[in-house]
Formats: sequence, structure tokens, C-alpha cells
Amino acid sequence: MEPNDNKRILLIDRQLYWREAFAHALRTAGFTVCTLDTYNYVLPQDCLKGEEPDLIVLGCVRIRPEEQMVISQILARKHHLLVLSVTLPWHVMRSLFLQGVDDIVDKPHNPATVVDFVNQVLESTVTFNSFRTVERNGIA
Amino acid sequence: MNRQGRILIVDDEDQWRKELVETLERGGFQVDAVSRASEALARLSETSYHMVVLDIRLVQADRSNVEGIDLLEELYKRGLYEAIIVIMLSAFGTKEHMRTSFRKYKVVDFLSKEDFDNQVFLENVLQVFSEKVNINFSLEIIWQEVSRPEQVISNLEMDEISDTGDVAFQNRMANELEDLLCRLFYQAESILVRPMTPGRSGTGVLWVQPFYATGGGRAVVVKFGSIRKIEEEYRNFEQYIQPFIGGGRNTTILNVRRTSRLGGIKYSLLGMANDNLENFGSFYRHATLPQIEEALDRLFGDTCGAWYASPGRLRPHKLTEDYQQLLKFTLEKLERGLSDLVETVQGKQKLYFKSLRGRSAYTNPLLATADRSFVRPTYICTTHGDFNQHNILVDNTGNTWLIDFLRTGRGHILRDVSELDSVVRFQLLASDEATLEERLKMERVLCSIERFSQIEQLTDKLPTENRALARAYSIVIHLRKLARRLVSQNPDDDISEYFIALLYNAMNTFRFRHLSVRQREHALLCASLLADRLGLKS
Repeated sequence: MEPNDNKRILLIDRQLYWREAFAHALRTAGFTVCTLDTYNYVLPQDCLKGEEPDLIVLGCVRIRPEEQMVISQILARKHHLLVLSVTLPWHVMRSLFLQGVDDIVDKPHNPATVVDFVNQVLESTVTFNSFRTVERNGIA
Repeated sequence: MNRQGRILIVDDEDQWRKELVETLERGGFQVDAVSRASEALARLSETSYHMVVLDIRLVQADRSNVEGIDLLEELYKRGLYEAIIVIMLSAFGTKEHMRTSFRKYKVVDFLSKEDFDNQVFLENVLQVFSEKVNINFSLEIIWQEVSRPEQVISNLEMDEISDTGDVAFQNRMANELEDLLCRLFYQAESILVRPMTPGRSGTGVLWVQPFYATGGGRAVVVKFGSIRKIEEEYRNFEQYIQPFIGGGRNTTILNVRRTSRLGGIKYSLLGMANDNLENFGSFYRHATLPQIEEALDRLFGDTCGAWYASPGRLRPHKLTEDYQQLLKFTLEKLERGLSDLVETVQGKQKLYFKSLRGRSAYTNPLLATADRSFVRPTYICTTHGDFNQHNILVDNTGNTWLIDFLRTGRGHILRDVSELDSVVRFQLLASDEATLEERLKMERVLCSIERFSQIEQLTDKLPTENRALARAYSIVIHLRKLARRLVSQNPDDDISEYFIALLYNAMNTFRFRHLSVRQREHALLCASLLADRLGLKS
């Protein structure tokens, strides 16, 4: 059994090539992947069988108001978010991190590299589980 | 209140340090500034800061210098990122630095010096304090029964600190304790704080009643101590206590916070009828016998009932290993405990007690148990692990709650009841309340049976005019009846598993230096009789 078998990834990218390439790389690494080609990210709940994703990966070229909108929606629901984009300006990166995005990286040339970024984010969400997690999220 | 947010600036450029200090002091903060990472670490070990403002390049001439990032790594390794928030401020920060700082080290902001604006920076810092630090510097802390917080931290055992009696250390810990309370009760306007008697875990316990803008809140209990101990207690709570919460009188956690060195847990006691709460030791002093018995029934049947209701199947259990791991004693520690009693107890192979009439010889339990490993068929379940008079709280309706889950975990089902049994005989029966002769008489009666079903026969077996002794004896008999109930599914009626548990508790007790010589002799004598009862020879 692959260690990532029980991790659910929701991948949002409007570009078919990147969507398919990243999804393939992640599925090969053992993740359960659900893809979406629109920014209406409520839709894919069915493909994750009603479960919440462990991580949402948003692939885009730049951060326009519509990307900003979907990012806000995702973070408002307290999902973890990895943004794959194309060389974002300093102030945009800072703004996204301040909003709570877990990581921001340039879209990798080799789609398989995305697996490393996903694993890094998932790892930090697991190990970063101490006093501040309680402070940020409260007691269950 | 003259508390202030404390900020440390780490920047190699004199001009920047000066400007940042002036800006932040204008905002009401207490600010220190250093130029190198090593100085920063020294300051951080002396003073408890809330925020660090950190440059990346700390040697201007060296373009490859990233000492600021290295310092972040060090803060991360020391776990300080949980107590201290960091703002990066650099002229040379790359986007990769920004990414690493946010993702790995959880900094709260990453600013460039190129477009730095004093006023905007100060507003940023003020906003971060109000949104991320969750601390109320104006909290009015009113201490009851003590005049200064230093008086409640004398019992603390801190990791890597050998001299916790040092005045400077105590002052710092007292400041950190107030800081911790300002974090735990950041929504309150004021709090009434009363110290409760601490247990033996090197941590402290406070009874706290908060008052909000909307009125008085319910009293809670705050446990505080070294980060490691509080984290361990929190983990145990999540694993062993949380699953059983609901439907009864449970202890639950409202908040967990930390400073640089101290961690704190805010416990709420669900279902508490009022705020008149006391520990079992003080309840034992004034309650009637039926009241104590009723409280014990509730403790084992209600408060901890869910643990004991899931004992799993009967299986052989290594009792020696279980109790040695739980009580953390070694032969050396026990020998040191015995040598403390050298003026009143003599002998090696056999022990002679000066306070006892005649010159009877008693088995040395240390020699008798050396290299012995007891295994008995019994049950394993979740146990509290430190059932003493300080960790059981009782309200004035006789309901009970538990605190201090540092040793909570799975173990022998009779762990808790046997420990409380020992606490009643060796500690709650005060030193001057019974002679060693009287205590010996009680122990002989208690050791006179072989089966759980014979406990009922003991009820009237100790004729005594000594009311304190009679009271302790009655409570112990009641506890042993409760113990019998816990293992009632075991078809074997053998009481020896309970005697083994009592033996290890007695051996652990005679090394407690906070007890009187008589109480420690009592524990030693009890261990000796139990060793005989179990057929051990010294």
C-alpha cells in the first residue's frame, strides 16, 4: 500500500495540460486526486465521496481578482492550500502568505516535482501540531 | 498595569536598530536591540519576548550571510516559534527566503526595507499583537492567599535548570507566569487567582476565577509547568481523556498556551455545582465518613467509570515492570530512601524499628523484591497514574474531578485505587495521629486475608480508640471493596495482585522526604509485611 493512499488532493487548474499532468503525477505517488477546471470548488465534493480534501492545489498563471476570490473561499473554509503559479511579484506572494496560504511555488517544468511540494505542505501540517495549532484553531 | 509587549530587534545596522527602537517604543513596547544572532540567543535565554524583528543579513560586508535565517532555524529547534512571533525585515530578502520563512518557520510577516515606513510598520506590529499574540497586557491579576507570584513557583521543576531556588530565576518565572495568565485569560478584564497545593510532578496548580466586561465567569483550574511536562500532559489528555468526555462530570481543556519556558493548560470542570472546590486531602480532613465514601464511589464509578468499564480481556500482566515504569524508582533511589531512616530503622538483612516495642525483626523489602518479577492474570485499562490527594478535586456536593494527566496511560486496572489506598494510610493519616505501633496493628489486620472476597470480614477487625486511625482504616476498607469491584470479572479471587500494587506504592513512599519519619517508617513497615504476605524472603 502506498503511504499517500489515504490523502485526498483537490487539484484546480483551468489549463488542461497542467491539470492532467499534475493529477497523473500525484495519482502515481498514491494520492487520491480530484480535479476541477473551474473555480467553483464546491462541485468536486462528489469525487472525494463527500470527504474534505487534505490539501487543495491551485494552479494558475497569475493572481487576478477571480483567483483571489477562490483563494479567499478556500482559506475561509480552513483548507490547506498550495498555489502553483508563474513567478509572482513579491507583494503578491507576501499578501497570499499573510492570508494563510501554506506554500507558493512556481509551476514546475517537471510535473512530478509537484509531489515533493505537496508532501512538504502535508508534512508541515502534521508536524506543526502544538501549542500554536491550538491557539490558531482552538480546542476541538 | 505596567505590562508591555517585549520586542527584540536583531539587525546589524546601527541606524536601523535606532530607528526601529524609537518607532516601537513610541508604540508603547519595551524594546531591546542586538546586532548578531549569538547576542539574540543570549537575550532570549534571559528575557521572555513576545516578538522578534529579524534582519536576514547580519554581516553587511558578507553577501552570503543569512544569519537571520539561521536564527529562525534555531528558534524553531528550541520550540520558541510557538511563544515568540517573528517579523522578518530585510533589504536582501529573496522570494525563496520569504517562502522558507513563512512555510517552514511560520513567521507572521516578511517586510522589505526598501519601502519601509515607520508609521505603517508600527501599525503592522500593533495589528499583529492584537490579532496573533492574543494577550491582554491590561489583565488585572489579583492574588489570593499569596502576595506575590514568586510564592507559587517555588515548586517548579524546570528542564535543564538545576537551581530553581535562584532569586533571578524565580523573578523571571514569576513574570512568565503572569505573562502566561495574560495569554490564557486574554479575553478577561481581571482574574482572582488562588494557588492550590501542587502534586509531586514539579508543576503548579491555580484556581482562577475570570471576570469579563459582561460579568463574572466560572472558576477554572490552571496547570502550569515546564513546556515538556505540559505538552506531555496535553498529549495524554487528548489520547486518554478526550474520548471519554460527555455525559458526566469531566475535566476538559479550554485553552493551552505557552511562554518561552512555561506552558499552561486551562481546565474546566464540567458539571461543577459551584466554585467551592477543594482537593481530596482537605476534603478528607473535614468530611464525614459517609461523605468520603460517597465521593470515592463517584470518583471510581462516575469520574473514572468509563476507563474501568473497558478493561479488555483477562491476560498475564508484568506488574513489576508496570509499577517500576510508573513510579520511576530504582534500587539506588530506594536504598537512599532507606538510608535516610538510619537513625530509627537499623539492620540490613532484617530491619529493626526503634519506635516499636520489643526487638522484632522485619523483612527488608528491598532485598526481598530484588530481582523478583511479579506477573499476574489481570486487566489493563486507562488509568490516571497519579491518584494523590492533590489531583482529585471535590466540590461541596461531593462530586469529583481529576487534574494532572502527566502519567495518564494504560496500565494495571488497580493502579489508581492502590495508590489512593497508600496515600490515605501513609499521608492523610497525619504523623501525630497514630503511633507506629498502632499503624503496625492496622497493617497486620489488612494483610491477614488472601482473597478479595474476605475484605468484608475486615470491617470490624481493628478495634481502636484512635479516631483518626479508625477513619483511615474504614476508608481503606472501602477502597479495597471498590478494588474488588474493578476486578470482579476475574474468576480468580486472589488478592495478591492488589498486594503487589500496594507493595510497590509503599516502597515508593518511604523515599518521600516531604513526609515525616513516622509516615515513612509506616510505609517501610507495610512493604515489609506485604513482602512476607507474598512469600518473599530477605
